[in-house]
Amino acid sequence: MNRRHLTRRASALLRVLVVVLLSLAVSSRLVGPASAEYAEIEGSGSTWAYTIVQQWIADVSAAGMQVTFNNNGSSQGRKDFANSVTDFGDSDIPYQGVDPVTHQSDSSQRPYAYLPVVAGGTAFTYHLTVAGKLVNNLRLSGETIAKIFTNQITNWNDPQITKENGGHALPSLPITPVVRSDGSGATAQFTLWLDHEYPSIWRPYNGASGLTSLYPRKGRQIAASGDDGVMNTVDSAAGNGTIGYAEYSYPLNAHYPVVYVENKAGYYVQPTQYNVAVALTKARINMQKTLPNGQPNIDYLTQELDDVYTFNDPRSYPVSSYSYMIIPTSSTDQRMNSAAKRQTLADFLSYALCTGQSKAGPYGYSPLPLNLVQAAFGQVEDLGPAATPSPVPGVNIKNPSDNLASCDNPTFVKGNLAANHLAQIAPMPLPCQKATAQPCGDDQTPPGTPAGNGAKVSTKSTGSTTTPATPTGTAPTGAPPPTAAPDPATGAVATTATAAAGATPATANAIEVSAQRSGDNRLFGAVAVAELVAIVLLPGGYVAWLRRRRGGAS
Amino acid sequence: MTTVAEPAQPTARSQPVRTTLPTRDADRVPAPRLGLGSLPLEQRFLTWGARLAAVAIAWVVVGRLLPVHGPAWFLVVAALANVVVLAVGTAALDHRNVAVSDRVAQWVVSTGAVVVFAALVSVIVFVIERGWPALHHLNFFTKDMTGVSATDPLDKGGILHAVLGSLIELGIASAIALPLGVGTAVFMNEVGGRLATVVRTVVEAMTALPDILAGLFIYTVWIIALGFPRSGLAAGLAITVMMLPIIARASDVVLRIVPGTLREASFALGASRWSTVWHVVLPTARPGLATALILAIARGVGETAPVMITSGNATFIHLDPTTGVMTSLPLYIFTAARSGIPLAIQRAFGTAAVLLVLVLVLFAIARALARPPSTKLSPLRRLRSAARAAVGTARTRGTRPTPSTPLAEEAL
Amino acid sequence: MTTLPLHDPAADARPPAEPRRLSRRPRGGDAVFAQSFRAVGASVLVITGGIGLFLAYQSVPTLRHYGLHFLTTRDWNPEADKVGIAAVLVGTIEVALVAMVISFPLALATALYITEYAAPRLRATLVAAVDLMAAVPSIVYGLWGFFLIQPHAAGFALFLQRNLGWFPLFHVGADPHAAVPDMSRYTASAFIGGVTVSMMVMPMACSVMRQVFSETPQGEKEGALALGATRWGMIRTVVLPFGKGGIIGGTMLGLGRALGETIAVLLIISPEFVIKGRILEIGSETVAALIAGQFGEATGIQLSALLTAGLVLFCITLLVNTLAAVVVNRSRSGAQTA
Repeated sequence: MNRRHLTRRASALLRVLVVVLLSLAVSSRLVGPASAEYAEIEGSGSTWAYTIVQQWIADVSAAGMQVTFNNNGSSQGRKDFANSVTDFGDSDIPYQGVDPVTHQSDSSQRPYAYLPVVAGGTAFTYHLTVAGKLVNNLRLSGETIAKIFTNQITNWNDPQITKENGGHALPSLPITPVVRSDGSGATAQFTLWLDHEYPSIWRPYNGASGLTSLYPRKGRQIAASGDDGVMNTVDSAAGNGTIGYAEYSYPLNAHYPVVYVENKAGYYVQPTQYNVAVALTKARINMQKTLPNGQPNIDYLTQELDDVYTFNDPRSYPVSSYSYMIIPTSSTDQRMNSAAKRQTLADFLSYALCTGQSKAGPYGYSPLPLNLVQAAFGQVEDLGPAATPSPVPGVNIKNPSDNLASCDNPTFVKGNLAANHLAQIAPMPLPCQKATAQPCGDDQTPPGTPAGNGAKVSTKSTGSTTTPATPTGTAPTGAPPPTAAPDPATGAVATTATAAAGATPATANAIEVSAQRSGDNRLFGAVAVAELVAIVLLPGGYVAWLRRRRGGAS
Repeated sequence: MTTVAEPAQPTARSQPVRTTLPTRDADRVPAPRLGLGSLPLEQRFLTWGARLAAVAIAWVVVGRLLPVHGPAWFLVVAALANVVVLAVGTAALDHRNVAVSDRVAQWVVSTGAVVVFAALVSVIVFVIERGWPALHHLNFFTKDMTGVSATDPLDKGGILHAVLGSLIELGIASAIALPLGVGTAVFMNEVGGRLATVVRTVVEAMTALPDILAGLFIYTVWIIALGFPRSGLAAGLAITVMMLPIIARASDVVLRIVPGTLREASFALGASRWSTVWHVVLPTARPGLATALILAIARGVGETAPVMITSGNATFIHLDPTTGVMTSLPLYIFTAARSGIPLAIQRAFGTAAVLLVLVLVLFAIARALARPPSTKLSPLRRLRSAARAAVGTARTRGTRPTPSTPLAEEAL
Repeated sequence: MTTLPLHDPAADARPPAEPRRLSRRPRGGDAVFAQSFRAVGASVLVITGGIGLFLAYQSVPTLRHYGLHFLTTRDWNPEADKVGIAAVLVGTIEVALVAMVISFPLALATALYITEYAAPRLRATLVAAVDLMAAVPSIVYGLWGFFLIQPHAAGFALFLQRNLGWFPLFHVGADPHAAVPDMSRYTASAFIGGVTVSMMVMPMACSVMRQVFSETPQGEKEGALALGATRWGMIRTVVLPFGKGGIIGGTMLGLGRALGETIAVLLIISPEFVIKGRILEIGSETVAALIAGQFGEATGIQLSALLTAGLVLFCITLLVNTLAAVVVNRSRSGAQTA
């Protein structure tokens, strides 16, 4: 009776469930997305740009647009787009064509166009705990970074690192570089810079010249999937001694330090929106929309970054680049088969290129200059009015070229399309950022550093009054000595050029001071334990032995 | 000359015949009486005494005598001390080797079981504790993640889209796999033949298919070759591929247990094969079949690998399985946990707790269905039947209440 | 007076009885039933067998393109089109072996405890607890392993290397006696992955063993006890030999599951394509995690390569499961449930 009652109840439940599911299925046809003119669109690609893309998606959902973005890496984003698995893609590098060595083809038969959506810098984030404190003012030249990531420099106390950090040696700790395990645009940009600037270091390591999307992991290097995976590995509790590359937004959100990279002018700078904007004024964008033979130029709007790497402005951050969206341009595209989908993508991009740019800086990116925004809007037209072979009706591209001022993009300079206001007002680096000066103290934030997570940007350097850090045997605290006195621990001469009063750089030699030798402890302890065990067990053992000797009678 | 000794003649009536009781042998020690219930006092003393001694020894040794610290060391030393004291104590009480080895073996087996159940408890407690900050917001269950970024606080956003996605995908999978699986089991048991042997072998072989391969198969065939988009339907198909051999095999086992005499009785009464299956075999096996289905569903709801490949992650509720990506619970957990953002990880743990509870509920239903019917009435029914019987006697004086009344109630 | 019935007049009306042809072939409704269910069975055969055949078929273009180097190449580099499964196969076996070494004694102890030592009232609860462990999804175990177990297991690995580092299995490429130990070398290893997988595998093995132990003939157990054996002696001489088939079968069933586990490995282990026996050191990779991680980037021929890797895994798992079934069926305990 109980069982039958239960099975009857279960079958009743099952019936209810079936009814619910059927009604859901029916209602899904009736209740579409929030707005009748929008349809759901899917994209995939770069984890480098994912932080800001995710924020844009959250912002447009209020308007009824439903967008999905899968951050599976630039390589997969390009592949997904080419295979018509997604409606749009995001990639940090364009389609590479056929590789001459491996004959692998990275191209798309599906007609597409590129448009830049955001700029940013590839940051090097690291985890170094010295005497309980996280080091946050590490400076490295490009060559040192190249040697670290090719396993030529293997310990943090290497003399080259020490020299670049004002003579303050880090403790002896093996370096663990963290690289990307998947096909990554960040890897591509990083290796492109390496290949360009340090070919003698990079090419023998890689075994071939040119960039690669799959970093060749060798030796102690740890591979992690996605920029978020790299960040997780670096900031994990066991990540002491790691250094990895990711877009600046990741260490910013994780409140982790970023390496000051040396630029050609001899200054160590961070990838703030200003420094990236300054660097990218030297980027050469292909502005030729049509080839001489009348065919559309598929390299339109792609970037050449050679001059960015060697720009000798003191504020320029060398490893800066743009990230691109890939959109379908054919009017008979298999996936963009409704005006609603095209409208959704067009409106999403319009938001991203206009209002969305104002969020780029606080989130760790850099907004696009006006000429690129206008060119990008031109590409968005390919979704509707400019689609080939025939324009698609019903798609309204909101071209705000009339009132671009409403976009609140900090790069816009009235009357000058190609100028970048951010680059013009970019603050100069602090004197302590110069290569010949001592590294900046903990409390000295370089100008223009965002506070992370979309908070307000500070354009002035913060004040430099702090309590002195607890010294562990390095440069003396308190008032700087009038004459340069040798540092008692490391022997280096500390210059008094730093303006920080009472701030000690957090580089220290960790010396373990112990009052007793652990070997003695163990011996004594073992003897004591043996005695204790004997006291407890011997009586019982003796009784047992006696009983056994008496034999049998229990 | 031989004389036959005659038995001594009892002197008749010289003394009265008396019965004497055998006197107890004074110098024989009585055999100890073994208690057959709980352990004798000295065994229990030994058990608890050894535990106490172990804790005391560990307290003294760890951190005080030896330069080792931490709860892990405490537990290890306590365990070692426990077994050693137990061994020596048993030897003192009963010196035979077998007694000592019996006690030590008992300790080893018990400790192994304790470790296993402690691990289970730690999984459940850890997941719920880490997920609690997310769980006690109501919006966690009623909203989806539209417009909510991963760093927004926990009182925004929820996992409704993942729950609905899981339900829809599971619904598709069950709708396809259950009829096919049970049908295959019926085929293998009722129709039989050479084909049935082949099917049985192949189905048993396919239960060994790793779940990732089920997903990869659907990805290669349905998504790449046939060109359909990644969708909830693809994920449902991947789960079907994984569940089908399991349901078929479990149903096969259940149907085999149905006694053949039932079938033969049904045939003898003139029923056709189909009537027999529908009216006799399946109802008899229904609890077992329900258990098998629910266990397969519990397995399917927690599968991440096939869903990861065939569907994607969306932040909004999406009810149409044929187009558009559909999130499901395990996929949401996986993506959120990997992101590294602390709030997202809390949401992931909350979702994991929801998944755990869901599996627990399914599991409890399965066990309730599988339990053989008890002939004991529930207390409520017993009260009711007793009351009815009493009323019956009062109304019809002299008529004994029929003993079949409770059974009649059971037939309701 | 009794009369014997000699002739039944009514019988003339009926036609004389003829021998009926007996046939096993179903007719009418039964034929429809048989045919339709045969169709169902055949379609399931097509679906499930088709999957196996599809996987097998994919190996042809793979081997044609990569040759037998596919089985000996260690690296998986789709960009350079150098793919091979040597390293991932070794990693899979390492993780599975660690899982079995941990779960086998625990499963055996739990099964023995439930059937022999536990109080009868507790038995049902404990059985339910073990079955519940088997039902917990693997993603939950993955989270538990990644967030709770990994830090402690890394510390344990460091301890092992410090004290038992001479054993080649426990060697790690880091200095265990450094002032600040390089903890990143001990995380994300095959060992930690194996510990997490063992939790998933153990309830499966335990259930099989428990079922087998509970079927031990009561008479033999009581006979051993009556002859004066202690409980452990009875277990050792009666239960364990009887359940030998179930023990081996359950273990191999668990091994099959451990070989195919994806999510825990994906969450925990850092991918590294090297063949190494140092299970405590960071870096390993299994076939299932390789497929899950690389499927999106794989072009046409590389997708076939992934499917072939999956086929190899499937064959190994199938072999293990078949052996388990054979062992269980041929043992005394299994013969009763065959």
